Amino acid sequence: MKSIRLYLIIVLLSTICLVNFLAALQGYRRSMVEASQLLDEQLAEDARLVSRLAAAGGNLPRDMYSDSMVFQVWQSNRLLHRSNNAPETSLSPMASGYHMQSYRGLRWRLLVYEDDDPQFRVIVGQRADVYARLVENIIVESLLPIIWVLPILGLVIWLIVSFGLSPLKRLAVLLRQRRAEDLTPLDVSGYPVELAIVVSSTNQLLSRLAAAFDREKRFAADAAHELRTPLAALKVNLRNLTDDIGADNDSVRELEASVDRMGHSIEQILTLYRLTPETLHRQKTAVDLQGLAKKVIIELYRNFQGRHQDIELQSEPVVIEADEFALMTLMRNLVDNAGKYTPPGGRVLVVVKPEGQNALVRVEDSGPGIAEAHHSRVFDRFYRVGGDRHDSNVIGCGLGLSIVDHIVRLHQGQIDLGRSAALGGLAVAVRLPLPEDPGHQKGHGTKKSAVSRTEDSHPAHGNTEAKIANENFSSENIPSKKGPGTNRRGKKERGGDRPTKTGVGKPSYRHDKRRASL
Amino acid sequence: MLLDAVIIILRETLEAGVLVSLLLTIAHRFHLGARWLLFALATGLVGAGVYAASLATVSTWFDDVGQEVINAAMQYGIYLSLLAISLLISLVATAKRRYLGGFLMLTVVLAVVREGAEITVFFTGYLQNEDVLSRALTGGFVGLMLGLSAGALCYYVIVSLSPTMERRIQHVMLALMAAGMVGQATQLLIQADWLPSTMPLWDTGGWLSERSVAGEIAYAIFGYEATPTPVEVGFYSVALALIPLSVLLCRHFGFNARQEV
Repeated sequence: MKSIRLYLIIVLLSTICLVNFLAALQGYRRSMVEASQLLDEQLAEDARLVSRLAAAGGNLPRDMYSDSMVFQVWQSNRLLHRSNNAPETSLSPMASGYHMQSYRGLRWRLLVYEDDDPQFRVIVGQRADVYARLVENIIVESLLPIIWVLPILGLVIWLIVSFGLSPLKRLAVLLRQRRAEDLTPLDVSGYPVELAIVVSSTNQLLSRLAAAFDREKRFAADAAHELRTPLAALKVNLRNLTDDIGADNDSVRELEASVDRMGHSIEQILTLYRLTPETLHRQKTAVDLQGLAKKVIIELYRNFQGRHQDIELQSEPVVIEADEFALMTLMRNLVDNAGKYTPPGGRVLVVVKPEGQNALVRVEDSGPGIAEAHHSRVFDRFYRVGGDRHDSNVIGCGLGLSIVDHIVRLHQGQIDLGRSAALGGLAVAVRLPLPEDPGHQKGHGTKKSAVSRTEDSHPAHGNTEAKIANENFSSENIPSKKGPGTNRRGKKERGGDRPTKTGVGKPSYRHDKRRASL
Repeated sequence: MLLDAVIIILRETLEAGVLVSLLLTIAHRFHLGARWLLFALATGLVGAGVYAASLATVSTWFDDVGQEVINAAMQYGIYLSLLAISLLISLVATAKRRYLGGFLMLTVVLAVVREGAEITVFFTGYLQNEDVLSRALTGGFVGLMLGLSAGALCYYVIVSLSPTMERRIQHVMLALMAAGMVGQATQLLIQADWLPSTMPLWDTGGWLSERSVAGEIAYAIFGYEATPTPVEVGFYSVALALIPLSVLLCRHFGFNARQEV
């Protein structure tokens, strides 16, 4: 059943039609029987009258009856009297009783009436169709109102059903409009008994859900305190131990790696629990994805440098309504993953740009990628390709992509895995919906135009990349921890210098197209 | 007149209504939607108009029994189509669903062409007589609404059953309706003297009149005939037995890639 309303309207109308019309048919049949009896009684009366008039020896007027009636008076085989419309031969067999005969192309109901004298017979008849038509006309007149009223009845049923379903509709609207974080009970009043049960059950469910969320939040807060504090102490003690026995000890190195892994896992788990729908709705702001990507790359740049990897950002200004912390986490996980699973000397490309109604964040690498068979599972919590035998030798707990997926879902976005056409490794594409209000993008659009003009001054680059700011990061354009003064990129731009990549392991600055400075 | 119109239209629409509702429940079970039905109804109505307009010519074929023979051919066509539907819903995998849609459409088109042409011919006979026409149209409308209402209720009753019961009812009704088509077609061929006419095997008219509403429903569902001849009974029995036998044979020979949806 697709629609309760349609079901009720069709079933009710069908039932009404069946009942009404079957009743009308039954009435029609009964009326026909009654009419037939009435006709027979009328014929008997007429026959007695004609018989008495004829027996009295009087002259019977031949035209006193209408065309719908005939009579004949027979004595033995001699016709004594007849109506003008009757033939001179017998209208029917002479056996007494009622007969149906055809005469002049019409059906006639005839009565052969035998009085006291068996030689004296009167035949009277009436057209059968006259009575039938009369009855049919009565039935048709009674049927027509039923037929005409059917559309009105359909409309009335539609209105009644709509009214009856209105509490259900009201409840559906109430549930649909609820914010994800709103777990307060629904107001039970105003609902009919049948729906009150549903509302009450929903309230019980909401209550259990709220309790579960509370437990989860308490767990996250407790875990943050209970796990981070001893971990910090552990790290300090480990540092002291390293100082005492030296950093070359294998056991110490393994212990350091384990502690790092534990710290990473704890942070990822806590991140996952911090990202709930209710906190997300509270913390939504306008987030500049381009700026965010740069921040993340700068933050993680030392890791790339340590692995002699080349990271490049191709971006356009794009702003979405989102939780900045969540998106920072998303971006950090994607970029960090790309770096970790790309061999030393490899390349990572980050693309940020608007794409139709979405903002696109794509991170590609030149690593081994992920076989398609694993694509559906890599978003599962604690799942790592290859399981415990994971051979990447990098710290991980199988939560990175799971967190990314979680954040994408919270923002009603979409995530796709594939193979990078440019670098040959994994390509992770995240699409997040742009805000409906285009005003968010206006300010950046102006900037984009200005950049396009800048790009025109670099004829070496084709139209394909005309709108994209392409930045290749090096130690020179990454602000050092001492402050922004060490960033010399602006100086190089002004000089029109176009440094080229000097080779893997020595990331260099390539300002192919650029709109914003770091 | 009124009753005649009711009976004639009811006889045609009830049969078509029940058949279409049964096919719709199958389409519902296999997620085929209802677009195929609109296309089939439109095609069938056009076909009915063309067939009704050509009936004068068609009637002269085969020594003036063309109408009976063509109608019988259409009935046998519906039977074969229903047989194919029975096999498809019993045996084949969902990948063959498009064939099922095709046979559903074919069945509806053939049914609408045949029933629609008869209704058209019935009413065009009264076009000149306004008094009779109004009563015939009223009676026809009553018959039409009775047939459609019965079809609609039949649909909702079947789809509200449990999946197992729904499947069983579909199989049984398909077999009965298909055999009923063969019974009617055989009757037409007897009228056309293509098959021998003999004394009826029995007469159940006193128990269930063909002209009663119950008799019409029985006619629509399994081709009830109060006074069947041995030939009709033979053809009907073979047609009825052929459907489950075909399903069993196909399963026996390995066409059992059944995949319920």
